Amino acid sequence: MARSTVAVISSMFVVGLLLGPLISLINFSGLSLSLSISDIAAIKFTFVQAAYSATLSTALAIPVANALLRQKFWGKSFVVLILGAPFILPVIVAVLGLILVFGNNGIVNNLLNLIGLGSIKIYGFWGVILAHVFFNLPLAIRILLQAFNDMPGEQYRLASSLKLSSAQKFFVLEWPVLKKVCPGVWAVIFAICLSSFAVALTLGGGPKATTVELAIYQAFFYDLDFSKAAQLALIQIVLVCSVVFASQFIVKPKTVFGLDIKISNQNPSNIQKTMDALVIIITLLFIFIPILVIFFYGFADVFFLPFSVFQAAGLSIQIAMLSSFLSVFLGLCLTTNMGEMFGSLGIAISPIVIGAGTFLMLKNFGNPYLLAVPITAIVNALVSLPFVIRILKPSALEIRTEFENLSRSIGLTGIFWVWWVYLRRLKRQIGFSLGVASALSMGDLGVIVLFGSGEIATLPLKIYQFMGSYRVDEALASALLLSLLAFGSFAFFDKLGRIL
Amino acid sequence: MIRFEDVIIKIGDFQLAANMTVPKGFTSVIGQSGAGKSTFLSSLSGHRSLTSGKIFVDKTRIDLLPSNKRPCSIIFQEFNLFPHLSIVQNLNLVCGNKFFVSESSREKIKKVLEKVGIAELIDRLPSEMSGGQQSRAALARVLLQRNPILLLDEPFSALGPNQKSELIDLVDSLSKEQDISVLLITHDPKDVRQIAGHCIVVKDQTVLGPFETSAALDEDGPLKGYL
Repeated sequence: MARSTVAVISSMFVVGLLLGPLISLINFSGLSLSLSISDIAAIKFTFVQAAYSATLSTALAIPVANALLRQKFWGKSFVVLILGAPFILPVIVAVLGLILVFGNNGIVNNLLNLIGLGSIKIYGFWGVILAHVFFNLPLAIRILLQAFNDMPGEQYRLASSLKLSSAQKFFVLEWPVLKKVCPGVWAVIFAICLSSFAVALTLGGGPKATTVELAIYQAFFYDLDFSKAAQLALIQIVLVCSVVFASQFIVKPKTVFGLDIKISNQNPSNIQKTMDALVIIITLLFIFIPILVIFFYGFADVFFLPFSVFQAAGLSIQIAMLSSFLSVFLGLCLTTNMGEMFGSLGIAISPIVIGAGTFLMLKNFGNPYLLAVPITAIVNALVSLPFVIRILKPSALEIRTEFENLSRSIGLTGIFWVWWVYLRRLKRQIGFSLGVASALSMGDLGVIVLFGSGEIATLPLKIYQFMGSYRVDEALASALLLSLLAFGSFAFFDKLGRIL
Repeated sequence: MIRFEDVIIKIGDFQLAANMTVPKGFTSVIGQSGAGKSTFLSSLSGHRSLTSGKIFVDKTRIDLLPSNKRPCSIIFQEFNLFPHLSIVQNLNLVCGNKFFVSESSREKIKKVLEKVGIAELIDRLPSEMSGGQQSRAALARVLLQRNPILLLDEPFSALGPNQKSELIDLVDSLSKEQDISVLLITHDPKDVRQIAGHCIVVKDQTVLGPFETSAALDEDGPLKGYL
């Protein structure tokens, strides 16, 4: 079967999976186009929190990326590498960690109270922003660092030989890069935050801190108002598509999935060194203390968790395996420009909408709760598909360019080409994609909240249930288990791709 | 015998015309960079389609066939072997059963590798071999393909003069032994001199010839500009 045929069939499959549930939701409910005050508030909150999150993450990333570029220290490559960790850290774990650090009885508030500076509130608007910055600051740092790193080293050497001051160096060397890259970084983070669900579910909520995504869930799950859910789903699609469309007119940042970043040294002054060290340490503390406290507090109880937690972990693993293999299979079929376009539709259509639509479709044929596992796996696969395609596509295109003539000349086509060339040349990227997709699915707290129950619960849902019933010790220990599973599955597949 | 009948290949503003019959044996294709030598060979191998005209091998029209159905083997300037596969796996791709290397295929491959002088490297990866050895492995695959025409698109250009000369001699002797017609693209008049037979000159958007090599190398011959 020709490559284009495979891409067309896979694209149709993905479009069907994404649009089918949406159409079913609209059909079921009928679509009214009136917006209530709470809907407008949700739209406004979605935009404002995304704008704040994107602006803060991008602005804070500039000094950190600069400091990392300038300084040379032991373990620097490792620091850059682990800045990728929040990307695969389950949202619920991060939220729990942030609550332990910034919550009412958290480390920061205890310190602030001790010195008489009052306290900060983690729930509501600023909690959502804090969590979004926690997730997106490392992403912004890595993209900016890559952009700085792509500058020819000769430019820095020339600036030094001309004895330019720090300010002059900034305007001559760094400002042009920032001007080019920052709008793209901002747009990427803005689009990610527009679809925020799990963060808003755990730290937001209420009339003042509800995203459109959360409002869809509330309309569907609590109000049983399917018409409103469909209406909000369409609004969400329009919002995300507008941002994606608008971002086409600005420079797209390079996707930084590889972790081996070459960093140049610029011989900074002593004051600069001290400032840079401070910036790097504060950033690392901000990112890693919430993760470390989970390990610290969760470790004691992890062996004494109830059996239901291990059952939930088993279900999470099952879903993660199904979803990551499906996502990578689809990703391998969609490594063309058209394939990427259709495969990336998952960014625009909310997982909650897909889940809700599927629920309504299946309701006519039987009990949708019985299909919770495959539905969650399919939705998770569609959510990770855009990332998987971004990882696989550049190498897939390179393989085609390099080996197309040779393959054609010896008649190596179809399944034989896939077996001997495509899969073998891509094994490292396939391992990495499986790792990312399985970790993302493992930590997902999205569609499972619609289908989950006391009996069918993934580990993130179990943690959410523990948090809701104030069983903090069990929540912490389960969060540790979930982190180990997410990082473990990533490391396992990534390593497998390297050694096979 | 290969016959190009009113062949025109257009790529953007560039156009190449060929109307000739290439005899059996060793034929070198010479011309300046960008003259269209590779385009000419690609039209024969099926990697580039014709704008108009026909190509026949003996009496069979081949220009409408897909590249893997044409009676041609080709060795390119680079990417002649899959770097992640061992030599035996690379060569097995043209040996019938493509999913695994059977014992009989391995024996067959070993015999061919003996002919090109690298039988002991059968399980090596291309990265563990020199450029000359890699070219020999690519040549071994051509022998396994058993096509009557071999197209060489400057495959030895990255090798030193001695290695290159050795390989051209090897191609010459193997092609005579197996009755294969060879078309070798080259920039270097020394290569043309090394091999008797015919040469084709690509210039002014036209494929000229074939000329007898000795005549082409005369002072007033078509290769005058190269000497």
